Amino acid sequence: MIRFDLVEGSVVLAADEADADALLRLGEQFAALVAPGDAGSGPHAPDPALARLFPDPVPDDPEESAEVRGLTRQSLVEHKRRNAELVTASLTSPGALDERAELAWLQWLTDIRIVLASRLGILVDGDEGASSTDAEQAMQWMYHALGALQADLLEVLDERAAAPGAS
Amino acid sequence: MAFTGPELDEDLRVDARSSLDRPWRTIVWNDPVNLMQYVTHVFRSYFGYSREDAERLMLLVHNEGRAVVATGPREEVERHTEAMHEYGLWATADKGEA
Repeated sequence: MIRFDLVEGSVVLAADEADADALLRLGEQFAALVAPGDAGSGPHAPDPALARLFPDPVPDDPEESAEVRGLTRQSLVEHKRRNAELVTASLTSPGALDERAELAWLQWLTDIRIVLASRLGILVDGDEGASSTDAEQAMQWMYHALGALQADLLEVLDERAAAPGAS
Repeated sequence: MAFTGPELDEDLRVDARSSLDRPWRTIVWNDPVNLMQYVTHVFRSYFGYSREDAERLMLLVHNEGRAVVATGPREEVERHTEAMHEYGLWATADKGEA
């Protein structure tokens, strides 16, 4: 069980060991995927999950797009890795999240779900995704569970924003 | 009468990357992964849109497939586009229609 609660204006993470371990393993795989070394960091990575995580920024103008991506790809990778580090740290010692860790959780959950959706073939609205093998069913479960977890976090953030005295 | 001003004739070229003739724009595209409330949250917290405007833009993305979420000079629009990529939204930058 992983959950977010609002306690005296802070978002507080609670995680049992089994679920925390499952997310930590996903986080390790994600880190390996986004930073596999120089060979995989070109502007036209063949993995569709990477293409979705690092979209072509200016598709009308390939030259401009390559230039922009050349300038921003590394900082985008660093940002996503930093998110993963903060999520890992909070899973290792759960408790109150600071603002940067809240952002890391929101963005990290999105990134993991993007990769899972890509692997399952969820490409457009309405796609159910593959579910014939045990591995696919496990990915489906995780995809939906992480979506529900993100919805919980958004609800807690909304609750705080609506609280009296919120800025 | 002698014309002595600058000659802005057919040789005039405006760099296609310039935003002097028309602004660049950040477009967010629909995808099957992101939750509607997440997209609304991103538009509110990153761009500072009101809840109403953020929800209107989110619904445009959801129903029409895309929405223009920012316009301005190229560098600014490209920065916003990268920020959307940090959030995992599918965003692109282009030069608005003439």
